[in-house]
Amino acid sequence: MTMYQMYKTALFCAASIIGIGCGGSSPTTPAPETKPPAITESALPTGTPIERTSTFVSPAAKHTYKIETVIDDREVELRNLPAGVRDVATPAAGVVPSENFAGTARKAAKLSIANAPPETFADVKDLIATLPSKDAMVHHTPVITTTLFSNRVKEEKRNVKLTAFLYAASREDDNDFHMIIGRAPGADPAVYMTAELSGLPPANSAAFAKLKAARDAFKNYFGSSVPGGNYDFYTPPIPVSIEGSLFFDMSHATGNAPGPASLRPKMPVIWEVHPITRIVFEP
Amino acid sequence: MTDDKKVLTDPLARQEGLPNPDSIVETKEFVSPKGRKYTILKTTETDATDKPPKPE
Repeated sequence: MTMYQMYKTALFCAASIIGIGCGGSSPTTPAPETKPPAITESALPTGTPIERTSTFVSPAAKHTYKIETVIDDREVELRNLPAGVRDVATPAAGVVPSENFAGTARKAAKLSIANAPPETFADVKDLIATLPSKDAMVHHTPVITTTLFSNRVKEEKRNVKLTAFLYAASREDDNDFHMIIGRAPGADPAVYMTAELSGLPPANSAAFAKLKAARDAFKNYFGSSVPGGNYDFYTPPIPVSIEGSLFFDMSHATGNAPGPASLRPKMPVIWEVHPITRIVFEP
Repeated sequence: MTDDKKVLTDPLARQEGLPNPDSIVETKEFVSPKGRKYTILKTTETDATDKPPKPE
């Protein structure tokens, strides 16, 4: 079962207090029918609205499970796309790609804007110098998870206004536009980092208006030359002014760092400006 | 080899911040809304961000 299917069916399992166990990831793929440990709390975060509650009895061992169904909070447009195209950045011919965020990792943080005054930087290198180390963030207390509900930690509650140059961009599977920004051409050493225009949150989200305005500015600037799933590079690099919140990409704390292979060696951090709340080209 | 690729593979001419020449599949002129001219180098380079984590 894919992550999407798990999310769409939205079957979160929690046990009652009468010796009922929780059966694993989903009732459609139940765990082996050994008696599971009793769990007395819902697996859902506190305050999650529950659409309905039902009961499921496993066919073999007759264990009883409580199913809490939550509303798929992705937009109707995305949910209604045909299977197989709903989660891809480059959909089938004739299908307009969704503008809505389709990712899961740290969704709460990616779609929120820090509540802090902007700090101004005229050079990407100067911003990077202020960022906590990867080691400090990986061993952060509290632990930074990659779950849907993983929200900003203290170090990410910063906003920046940054003068930079756009070297490359692509559209990611989650419908974010992934931008590689760097120092002025000729600056030594060359240094790059990631800045992302998020796929959109639900229209009633507090961040929606700013994220949409930034995304529209990007699309209006490039017109028919908006990048696809592979990286476009720009020469000369395009001057930009970017505002947004800082974000630590915990998903890449291990394994390959993000970014195109050509620039990755000069991307010293997995911190990002994410989401971008304002972008001005050729300021 | 196209003229664009010759430029990109010439170590004296190659600029910082450009892709591996072997990854370039198309070059395209782009004029910004403010009238500035750029070249877009479309490449095969990708990364793998935001893949859904495997269910635990």
